[in-house]
Amino acid sequence: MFFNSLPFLVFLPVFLVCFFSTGGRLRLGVCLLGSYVFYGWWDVRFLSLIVVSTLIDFYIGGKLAVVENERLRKRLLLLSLVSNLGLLFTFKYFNFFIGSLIEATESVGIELDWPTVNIILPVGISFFTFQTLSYTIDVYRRRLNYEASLLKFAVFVAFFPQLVAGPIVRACDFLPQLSRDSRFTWRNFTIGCSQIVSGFFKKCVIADSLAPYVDVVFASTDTQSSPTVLLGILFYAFQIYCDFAGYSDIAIGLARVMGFHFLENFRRPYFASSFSDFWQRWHISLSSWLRDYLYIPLGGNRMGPRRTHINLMLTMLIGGLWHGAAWTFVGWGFLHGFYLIAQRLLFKIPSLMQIATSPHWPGRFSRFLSGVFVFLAVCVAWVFFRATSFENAIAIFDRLFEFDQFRLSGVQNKIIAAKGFALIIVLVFFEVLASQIRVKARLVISPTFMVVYFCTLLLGIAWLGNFDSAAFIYFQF
Amino acid sequence: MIKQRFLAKHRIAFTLVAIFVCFFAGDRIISRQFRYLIEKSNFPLARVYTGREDSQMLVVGNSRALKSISIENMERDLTKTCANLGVNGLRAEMLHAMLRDHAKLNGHPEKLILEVSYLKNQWDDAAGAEFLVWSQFGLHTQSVLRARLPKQIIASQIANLRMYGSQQFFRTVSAKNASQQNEFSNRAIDPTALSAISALGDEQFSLDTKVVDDLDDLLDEWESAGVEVTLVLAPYLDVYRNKVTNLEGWIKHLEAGLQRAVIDASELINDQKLFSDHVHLNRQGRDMMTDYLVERMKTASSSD
Repeated sequence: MFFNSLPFLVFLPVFLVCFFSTGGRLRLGVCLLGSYVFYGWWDVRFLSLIVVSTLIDFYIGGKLAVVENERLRKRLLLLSLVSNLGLLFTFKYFNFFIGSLIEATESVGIELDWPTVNIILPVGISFFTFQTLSYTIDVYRRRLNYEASLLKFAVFVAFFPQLVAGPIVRACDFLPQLSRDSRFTWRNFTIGCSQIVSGFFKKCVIADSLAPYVDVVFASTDTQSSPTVLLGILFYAFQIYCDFAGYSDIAIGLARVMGFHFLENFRRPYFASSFSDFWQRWHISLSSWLRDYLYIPLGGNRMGPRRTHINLMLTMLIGGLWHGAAWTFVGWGFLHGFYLIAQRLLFKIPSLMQIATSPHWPGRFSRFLSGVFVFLAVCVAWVFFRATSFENAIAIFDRLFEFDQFRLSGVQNKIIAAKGFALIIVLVFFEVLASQIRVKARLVISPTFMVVYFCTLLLGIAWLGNFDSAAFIYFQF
Repeated sequence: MIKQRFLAKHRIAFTLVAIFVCFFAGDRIISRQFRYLIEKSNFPLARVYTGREDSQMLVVGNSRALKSISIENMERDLTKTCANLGVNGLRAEMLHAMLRDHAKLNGHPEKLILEVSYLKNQWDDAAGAEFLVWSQFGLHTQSVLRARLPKQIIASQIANLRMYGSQQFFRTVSAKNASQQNEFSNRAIDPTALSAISALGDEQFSLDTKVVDDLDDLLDEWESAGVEVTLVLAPYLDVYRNKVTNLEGWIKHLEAGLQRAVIDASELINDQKLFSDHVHLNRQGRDMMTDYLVERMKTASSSD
């Protein structure tokens, strides 16, 4: 069920009443049942997958805790990797790789008749497999004690607020919280609700208002003018941000209401002044997962510049592929890998570093310029992320640079465009404001601020919110 | 002192009540202001639904009506005031309800020109939801939306602001003058768009007999009130027109259902430079279409 749907509006209060009315193992049981109901609402068959994944990693975690033999421990870890990634590969990438292999062999004249399978992609599979992998890897590295309670572990895996689209929660952060019976507090409730409402505003008002414009631009690129395409790309950058950050806010807010503290997943990413800064602000739970479990084990930046660049590129390519079984996502990952490598090479130039780090106006101006450049480069990468194929992406860039129609009158629907612009300005204003004032603290100490905050957002949602149960973009990953 | 202690102890409850009250008060106050903007707007549908539409001729239909028939040319050549009530994506049930509300709020015009291609489209919730803003003014419009979009009607009764989120409302408040028609450029259809249309498969127009019967009843009512009704099918780009395999049959079926002739201008214009896309004329094409329509209407009047 979607957060912005009627069944969820009924489910949530019932769940919360049951949650706070119980304690200990019973509360964990309520959590698990509620999470399974939430997940099974899409398709009850998906539950078998999450149960299998839970049981495998719980068993492996338990074994890793008692086995001392290093070779055996490695085999257990390998078993966890193979089973989790195997499930991911089967459900998400099997048809993609078979199809790509067939295309590649056909291009050299070899005909292969390999079958593809008719499989529904389980919602959130990329998220919960990475989450369970983080548990087994941390137990293997002895950074985390194994979880003895199957119930608690199952809740960690299936916890519904973040199950289907993150944030990817680490076992070391969440499992200890599950051991404590959090009480209902108005502080948690207020802060949690503020995040939920802010998440709904980003998703239902901003993201869903920009979506129709973007969909038309990417679906019928041939008939669009340059300004229309330019706006479409810009709007998509904000659509995906508001859609995904909105979901994260709702997930983190829901958890907070229940007394669980999740780390933020987005931190004003379009304010980044470099590409590495961008990845410390965008989808923080994924980028930190890739850093800790892929980039650093590959050697990180400890094995010389050439190997560092290879590690960066590999990490970003896999990060791209994680998002979807299509070469366009790999292309998106490739671009970000390229940006990061280029940045490392540029920062080696001493005079550039001097200007960039200067506290005076050349430094500030250069950081502003680099922020603009980073944003534009990220938008270019988003074209590949959104396009249905490389041909579609190239068609977008073709139309973008058709300067013969570079007039505002070429914008197809000026009303939607004006509304989109206005909403982006509102978003930027609120993000800047949020960075200047401590919203959470003020919400708790100032009733007036709380009333103004909630009423503003709720009125905005009532006026412009879209409730046609449009799915969150990241559900498809 | 006691009052302060009471407030401090129940601070949370008072805050929640304050949010509730401020939300609903804010909703009603802002909605009232939006309604005031509608009542002052020159946008054609705002005039219709607030009882300020007194044009002698009405052009009605979907975006093809909006873009194919020039009110300036109609007014100049037929020396009667004209309003174009074409709405992008307008569906039959909504159009018929709008006309019935027009009759109730403004009376009947002298002439009604109906571009009939809207009849081939099925109901669409998103297109229907555009008319939520008008549901507060027109009973027939409200009745259609109650039947088709009951949840949205209930939501708009709880939070009145729900009525004002549509493009219709934003067009209403941004309309500087009575007509949208000067928005449209003189751009000709792009060659790449032409090849995309050529690659399309065949299409068949559909006709719902219930909708046709309802239109027949509506036109009977209007004609008995003295309105001169003209039915017209605006031009299609030849490349697209040839893909519609049942176009002739569709028109004949419609004429049989309505017992009225339709001016078939679908093949009127073959010059691709006069189209902005495969179903819409550009400004030059619109002028040509309007001249043709005026001629046909004058001929029909003189033969009567």
